[in-house]
Amino acid sequence: MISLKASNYKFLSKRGVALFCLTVFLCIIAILMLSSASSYSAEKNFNDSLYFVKKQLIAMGLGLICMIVLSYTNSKLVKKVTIPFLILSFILLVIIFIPGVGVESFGAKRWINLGFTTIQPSELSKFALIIFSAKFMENRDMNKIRNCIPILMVGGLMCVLLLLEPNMSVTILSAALMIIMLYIGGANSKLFIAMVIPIVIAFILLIVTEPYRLQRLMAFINPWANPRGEGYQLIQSYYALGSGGWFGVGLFNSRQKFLFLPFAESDFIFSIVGEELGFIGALFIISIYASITVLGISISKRCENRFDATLAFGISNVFGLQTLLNIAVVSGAIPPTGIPLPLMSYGGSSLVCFLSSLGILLSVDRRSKVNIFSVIEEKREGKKKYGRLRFN
Amino acid sequence: MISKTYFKKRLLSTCLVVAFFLLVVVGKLIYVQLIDGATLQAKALDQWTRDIPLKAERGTIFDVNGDVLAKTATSYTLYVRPVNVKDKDRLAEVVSEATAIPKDKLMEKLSKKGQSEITLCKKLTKESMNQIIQSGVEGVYFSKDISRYYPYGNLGAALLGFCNVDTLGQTGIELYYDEYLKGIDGEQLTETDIVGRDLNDKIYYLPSIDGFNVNLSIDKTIQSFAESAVSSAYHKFNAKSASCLIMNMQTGGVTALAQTPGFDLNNVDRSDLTKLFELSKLSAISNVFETGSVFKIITIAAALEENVVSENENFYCAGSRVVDGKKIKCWKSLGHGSQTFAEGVENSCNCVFMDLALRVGLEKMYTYYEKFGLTKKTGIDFLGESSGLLIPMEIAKNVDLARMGFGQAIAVTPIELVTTICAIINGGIYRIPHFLECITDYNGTLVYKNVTDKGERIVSEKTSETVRRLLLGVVDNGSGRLAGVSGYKIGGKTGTAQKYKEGSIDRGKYISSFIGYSTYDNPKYVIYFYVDEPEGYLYYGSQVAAPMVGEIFKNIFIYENEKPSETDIEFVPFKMPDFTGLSYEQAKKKCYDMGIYLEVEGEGKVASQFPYPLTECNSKTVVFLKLE
Repeated sequence: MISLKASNYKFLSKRGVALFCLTVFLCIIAILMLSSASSYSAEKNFNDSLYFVKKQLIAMGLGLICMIVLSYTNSKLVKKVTIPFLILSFILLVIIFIPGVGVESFGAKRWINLGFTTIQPSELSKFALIIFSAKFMENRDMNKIRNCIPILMVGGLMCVLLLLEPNMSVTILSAALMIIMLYIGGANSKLFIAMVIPIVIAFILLIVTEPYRLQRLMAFINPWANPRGEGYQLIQSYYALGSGGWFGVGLFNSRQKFLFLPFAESDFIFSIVGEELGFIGALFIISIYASITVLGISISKRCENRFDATLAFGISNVFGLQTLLNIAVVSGAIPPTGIPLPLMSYGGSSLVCFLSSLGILLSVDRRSKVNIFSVIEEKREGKKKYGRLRFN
Repeated sequence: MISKTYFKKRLLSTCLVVAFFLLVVVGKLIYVQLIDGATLQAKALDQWTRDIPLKAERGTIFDVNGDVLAKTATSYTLYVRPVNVKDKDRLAEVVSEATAIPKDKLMEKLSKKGQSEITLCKKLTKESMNQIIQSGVEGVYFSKDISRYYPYGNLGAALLGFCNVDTLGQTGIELYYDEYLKGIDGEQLTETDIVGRDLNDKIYYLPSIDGFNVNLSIDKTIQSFAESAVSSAYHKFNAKSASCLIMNMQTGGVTALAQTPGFDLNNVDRSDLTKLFELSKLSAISNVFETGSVFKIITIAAALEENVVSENENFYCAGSRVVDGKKIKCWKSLGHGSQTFAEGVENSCNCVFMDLALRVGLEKMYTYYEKFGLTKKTGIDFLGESSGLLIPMEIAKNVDLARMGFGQAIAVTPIELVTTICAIINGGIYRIPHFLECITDYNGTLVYKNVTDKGERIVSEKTSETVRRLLLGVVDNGSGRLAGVSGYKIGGKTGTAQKYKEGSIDRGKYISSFIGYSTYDNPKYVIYFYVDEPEGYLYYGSQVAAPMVGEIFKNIFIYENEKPSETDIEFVPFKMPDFTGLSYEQAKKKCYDMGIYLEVEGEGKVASQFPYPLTECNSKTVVFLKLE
């Protein structure tokens, strides 16, 4: 039964199956939580308590289909569409600034109006960056600084466009992703040191020239200093989390969702999780996110080629990092910024993109399925002790 | 190019950094949810509910017989929100039935356009409100109005005190017992969303607990006797103020405490707060002054305790004594001549009391002042009590002691003085004075009872008896005559104290007082009556305060159904003779023959007199002669 037949590659590994099941399970929990968190505001604003749930279910269906379909793609196809995909994301990021097309909300232009729905290009661009860097680094010696420059330029341009929206949180996330991709790709350590210096200088300049910015940034440390202004959102999140305690007030029993907590259905849905399910429930949800991330990384570790490995790691990383960022904001560990919780926050673009990216991750899993020969080979290689073996 | 191990190394280090941040975030989550959770939830609870306060009803203040001195009146105001009213006609009918307000008048108010809320009627009783609620009409709302009501208005205004608009005590008994009277407010909680929309029909009640009732030792009737006496003295003598303190010497409870000028508790004038504060101060408790001759009772008690005088001992008064080389005058510059101790008391001869004080001695006398409770606050249940002022013993000289003997150079509060004198008269037992009898809850159940304390013996039974007898003489034969009530044995002592201004005597300004007890056989009340700055030449305590005390006692005897003793002789009426132009000796003889008590001022011949000639008088009359 052990063979190298191409058909065997069509199956997922144990990790892949687990990742798929956990994702679906998380989607079910996400819909439950969304229906609880959004029902009152949907009722009051749209006269339909299931308004958000319905829209999210459509996006989820679409996302799951994308996930399954994309899990059958091969690396050739992915590589082929990389550049068009990157160009498309840039076009979308630019289109936002065309009046009438870009939708402004809360002082930021982040959405494109498609007539029947709106999409958020920044959700797409994160993945375009990952795929592009994975492809670009595949056959290059990243130890040479000049090979890093194109990635820095693409990433930098993307960050500038995002910053213009403005979308601070996604900008930071994209910058972090770019750095991590370069790091994983084997970029020369000097590059990172060279990058740290301008960041530190920029930071010091910011503090010296405009100290109020830092003050506003650090306002999250004591939200009670301005409970009706900057501190409001965080205080409401604290109230939700604090009310949850160990075991929570019970599913659907949140009090903060009665319009006290703004963005309860989107960026701050995790506060409602903490309130209704308590610390134990929150920890359980976090562990699902962590498991998906760890499974993705473990898939990446077993990849046969460099492209797949960096791609899988990049996808797992954006998933884990964004989750961490969101929970850090909700719990007041970092300054508040609007970043959705993957798969759970209301928002179709984000949901479809994340599910699709997980589909690509699964396709990598199919290709890298560990068979008996590769195990033997690995063992043999292990005996020889790893030297500076070429990876691909 | 990168090796697989190198890749894995970099992958691992990235994961470690992320894992570290995850730990930090989980740590923050633990802090917010588990450590700070309860506090946060308590804060959140505040925004989740809308609370309507349920005001606790303030307790009633009763007098000793259970008559209401202060109570809380609750009424209700009826509001209508026209948008919620389905049937205006029926609403008007129901309200009209419950309140007896004509229906068309209500309809007129209800028909007003463009108002989101209409105040339909005020001062509804609880019964009418319930009637309207039970009828089931919609769109009506009630608010509770609480106000404090004092059935007797001016009676004991400074003593009882008043409340602010939230019916919280601001002065007097209302303030002192505020914690008991005010009760505990309740709340009515409704769950709402952020803009206050109700989430469900659930209403949580946290019922209010009504305040306790305070029962005072004040007797409303006796208080009103005192009130009318101070008021009449205040007007008659055009005085700065007049006060009267009546204490039950068996219990230490204050039976009445009146002072003028007063104010109306039901209509407190808050426009002049300085004045209001002044009027709200109880002078009997917070004013310290030299009491004058009434203080001689203290000297008698100390001297008798020390056994330095016998009742029949003879004293000689030449009009002054020289102490430490300083000449101190008797109030009567002519001198009282030779007199027994009892006569000396009746004459209120300063020389006798200087002798007594000097015989007791400085150190002993100070020990008595301390024992008698004159050096510290009595601890009465009232705010703002003062304490007596004494010259420190280390610097006091005999000349000071001599003057203290007749009530100068020592200042006390009336409450200190009366409490001590109560003890000296009641058989020697000192009891802490108080206003409170007991506290009951809204059901009438006793919560706290001010048990009459066993007290502390400060003088012997024998001394007390002797003082009582000596004071009886003052009213029967001496300066206290005008306090006498035919058929009753009353004892007392007059006092006329000079006022001081910036350290020197303020000429023409006096505090005229009288302290009396009754009856000799069954001592119950001590009355201290003092008039601050009576105007005119009538300023002696015997003329100003004594008749008022007599008047009050007379009323009390009738009120308490005290029978007059049959053995008493009626006073013989006669017309006042004309003394003008007579010498002091001639006038004195004439008075002695007719049995009239005499007060004189100055030297030489009689220039004027009071009462005027031919006034209807009797043998208890005191005549005042001005010599020139």
